[in-house]
This record gives sequence, C-alpha cells and structure tokens, in this order.
Amino acid sequence: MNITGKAHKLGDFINTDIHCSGKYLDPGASQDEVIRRLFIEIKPGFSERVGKGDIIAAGEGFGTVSSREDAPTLLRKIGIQAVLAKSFGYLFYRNAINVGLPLVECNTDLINENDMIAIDLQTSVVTNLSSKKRIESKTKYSAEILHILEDGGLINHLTKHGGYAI
Amino acid sequence: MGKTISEIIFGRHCGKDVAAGDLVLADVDFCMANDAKSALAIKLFEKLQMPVKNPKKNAFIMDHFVPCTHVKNANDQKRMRDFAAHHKIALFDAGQGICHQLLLEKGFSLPGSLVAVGDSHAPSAGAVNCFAVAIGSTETAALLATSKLWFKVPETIKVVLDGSIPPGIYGKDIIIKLLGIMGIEGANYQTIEFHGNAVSTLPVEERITICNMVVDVGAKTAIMEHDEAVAEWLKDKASKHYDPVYADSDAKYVRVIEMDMSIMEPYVSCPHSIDNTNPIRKVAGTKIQQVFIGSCTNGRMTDLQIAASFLKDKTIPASVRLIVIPASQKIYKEALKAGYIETLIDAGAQVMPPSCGPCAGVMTHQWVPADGDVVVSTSNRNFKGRMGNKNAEIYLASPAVAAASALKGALTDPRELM
Repeated sequence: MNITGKAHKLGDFINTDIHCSGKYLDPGASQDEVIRRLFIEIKPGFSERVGKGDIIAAGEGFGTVSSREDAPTLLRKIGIQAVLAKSFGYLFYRNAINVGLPLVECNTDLINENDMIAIDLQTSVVTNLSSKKRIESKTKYSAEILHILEDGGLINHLTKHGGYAI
Repeated sequence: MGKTISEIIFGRHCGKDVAAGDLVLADVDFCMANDAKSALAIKLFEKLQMPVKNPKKNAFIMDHFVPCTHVKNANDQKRMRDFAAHHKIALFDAGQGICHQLLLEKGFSLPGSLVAVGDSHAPSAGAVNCFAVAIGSTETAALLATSKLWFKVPETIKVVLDGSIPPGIYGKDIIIKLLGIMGIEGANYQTIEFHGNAVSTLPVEERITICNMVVDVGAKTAIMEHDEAVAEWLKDKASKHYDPVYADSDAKYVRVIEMDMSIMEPYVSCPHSIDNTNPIRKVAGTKIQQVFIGSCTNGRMTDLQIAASFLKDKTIPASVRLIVIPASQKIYKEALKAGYIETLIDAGAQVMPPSCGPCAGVMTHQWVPADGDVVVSTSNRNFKGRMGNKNAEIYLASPAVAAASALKGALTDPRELM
C-alpha cells in the first residue's frame, strides 16, 4: 500500500475531545456541524483546508483518551488518507485501523506544513518528497493488519470475505 | 521464558503459545456496548448482513443518557431495546447501573476471561483477574457477528504495591499517585499488572477503583491476580466456572514500578489533567462549590459507606452542592438498607438514580457547574469542560476526600476528621 499526500501539521497530545467536540454540542447536531468544528480549539477551519488524499503529521499522543470512533471516521470522511505522529493513543490506533485509516509512528519534526509525503506501508518507509529526506518509522504492520487496511477497514473486510480472512 | 497474565490469557483465547507483540485473532468471551456507542455499532452490524454469532456473549447497557434528556438519545435507546429483543441479547435498561459495575455484578467479567467493552473504563474488571479491553463501535459490530477480534498482545508493566496502607488512604489515592508517576502516555499499548502484599489487603471494590483509571495513562488494561477475596466477592455473582490466571515468576516486564504504601498520603488530580497530581496538603483550603460521589470509579458500597461515615449527623454548608449516585440499583438498595443513603440525604446530599451522571459531561445535562466553580469528584476524568463547563475546575479524589471537603466547603485532608 503506497500513499502520497500533502501534510497538515498538528501538535502534541491532541486528545479525542479536541478532535471532535460534538460531545459539547446539542445531541441533535449534524455530522456536518461536527466536521466544521474538527480541531476547532487549535486549528479553526481545519476541515475546509483539507483536500482529498491529504495526510496529518502530528506530535506525541495523537488521539488519546476515549474510544470515540468518530475521531478517525470523520478524518477519513474529510479526505485524510493517513496520519503520521510521534505516538498515538491506543484506542484511536485500533479504531483507525478498523475504519481503514493507516497510522504510522515516526519523527514528524522532519515534516513541515504542506510538505508532500510518501508512505510505503509494507516497508513502513516514510519519505518527505519536499525535503527529499527519508524518515524512519517505528510502525511495522503485520500482513493481517495490512489486509484489513487494504480492504478499507474491518467492516469491509468481514463483508468482503464473509468473516475474518486473516 | 515465563509469561505475563496478558500473554497467558491471549494464549488461551487463540489456542496457541503467544508472546507480547504477536498479532492474534482471539475468541472473546463477552462483549458489551452502552448507549453512547450502540447506535453506531448497530448501524455497522447491519451493514455486515450477518447473524449475531453468540447472543449469550453480548449485552447492551444504558448508562450514559440516564435520565434521557434528548430525543436523539431516546431514539438510540429505543433502537437498542428493539435490537436486543430481536437478536435475543441481554439488555440492561436505563437506571439499572453503570456498565462496568453491571458486567462485574452480573458475573460477565470473570477471572481468566477476555472481555471487550465499548467504553474506555473497561479495565475496571482487571480487579477480578479479567482481561477487559475497551473497543470502538466497529469492533462491537464485528464481535456481534463473529465473537472474534484481532489484538496485538500487549507488553506489561509490573506495579508492586508493598507495605501496609495507613488509615485514611484508599485505592483512589494509590491510583492517582501512580497516574502522576506514569504520566498521560506512560503505559501506551501496555498492560499494567498489579502485584505486592498491599493488593491482598485492599477490598475488591477498591481494587476496581485502581484498575478503572489506567486507560488515561494509555494502558490497554490493568489486571490483578485472583485471590480468596475475589473468590468470595464473586460467590453470589459468577454463575459459570472460571479459571484464574497467575503470572509466571519469571515473566518478562518492560518496566517495574515499586510503591511503598506505608508512606502514602491522600492524593488528588488537579485541574485539568489526571496526571497533574498532588498530595492533598498542597491544595487543602481551596474553596469548593460542588461535590460528586459516584461513577464507575467510586460509586460502590464501600465508597458510600466511607462518605456516610464522614457525614453522619453532620450537615454540609449551604455553599456546597453534594450529588451522590450509586453505581447500580443493587448498590442503591443495599445502601438504603444500610442507612447510608438516609445519612447522606440528612447531611444535604441529592441522590440520583444509577447512571454515569455528571461524569459524562454535558451530554447528560446533569449538574453542569457554573463558571468559576470548583468541583471535587470521585470520577475519573478532569479535562477542561469534562462536566460541561470549560470555565470550571475539577479535582479528582477519593470518597473520603470528597466527603470531608463537602463538609468543610474546601479541599480537606480526611485524616483531620477521623
């Protein structure tokens, strides 16, 4: 699986409350309203700036706290293709794989806003095409997880194969 | 090489020898979803067009939107009732209790078992030697259809609690101090295994409090060894045979943390992060306006008993609102019988039906604090805005600190009143 996209930088310890503050809206709030407010406290207007196929490059502890699946689901929905971060919250990590959003742990200090980034998920090699630097990654996806990601997440995987095919 | 409790439990549930780091497809013994997550899980499950694999291995529980305050949530709860009836899975309707408490009370979380729970405070059941892990809605849908889920077998941090626990110190103080030592990401993807001679001296309910809060240092779960106290506690709850798991003496741990209980003092998590911990003496005297005693962390019998012991024949000042929520209907009834509820009401408490209450924040529209209010809560999170107001401050504390502080109208070391 190869991914190429433009990077949007985000900082450290962005928990899922900061991702999508739908929790603090009226329970009847539409998904569009929640999307409009993604990362509103730290980067207002984020979802409008994101184009299809873009990636996020965040710092430590991206997606810590709750098991709220909206966090990775809405990122996919606005077009984010992959997330790079120095580290991830584990509930977010699992949810992201299961909704088909690849995550890679690497040193995102080597990435600037709007850099073009290439990711090879088989070899876990991240390349900053703008600075022409190769970035080592700590993530090593097993064949099983790559299979789920290639199928577009766990629901698609189970539907496609009529059960687990890993 | 010896094995940790996590490695042994995953080995049992996938039928082969496994080690930390291995990716496994494991048989999950039980799966639960609450009203905050079920609607999406049902939608995703229906996309699969598969039957429910093992109806007896699933339950739905309503605890977040209780009492229900919005049409959307009422409709989601109705969908849960309809789905549960149609697929013959267990349903615990609004007011019966908080999911983590009911999973333990009803004997779904048992020693040596692997349980997947659609809520981040799943690790609570680690107190009874159950590997309980929080999952998302997609995973719930997959479990309804297959009773299987992929896992990466976690590495383990060993935490040793040794020494005798002084009076006035509870499970909550121990876990708050540990969270401060570990920091927000201190156990990312890892299991925290608790050992040491102090564990066996703690009541099972306080062990649940300790395991409950590990998710916020990034831990996959917490787990403790089975002992006589657990067996006794489960006697009227477990209806199935269970097979406890003990760590091998030469198990490999990524880190060992030793805590001397004899020097413990009451601890609080200060605003606005659970790892911003301090001994109570550093913040004592801070004026407070609201106190919440309840939640999956501290809404059990021992917690209500402790609170009642501080408030018996006393009255809290008019400047303080005290909210008490038993974690389940069973606890509520036992606390009524024991006289704790009357004691707390006489002291000025408002008692609410079993639910997550104000812990879940504005999503339940319960007891939202005013701008500038300082809240003492026995719950598990104090992030900015957690209870529905970003301009309020939340201190997390034991029921003893909460009750003593309610009485004095300010953060108080409970040992001064003992």
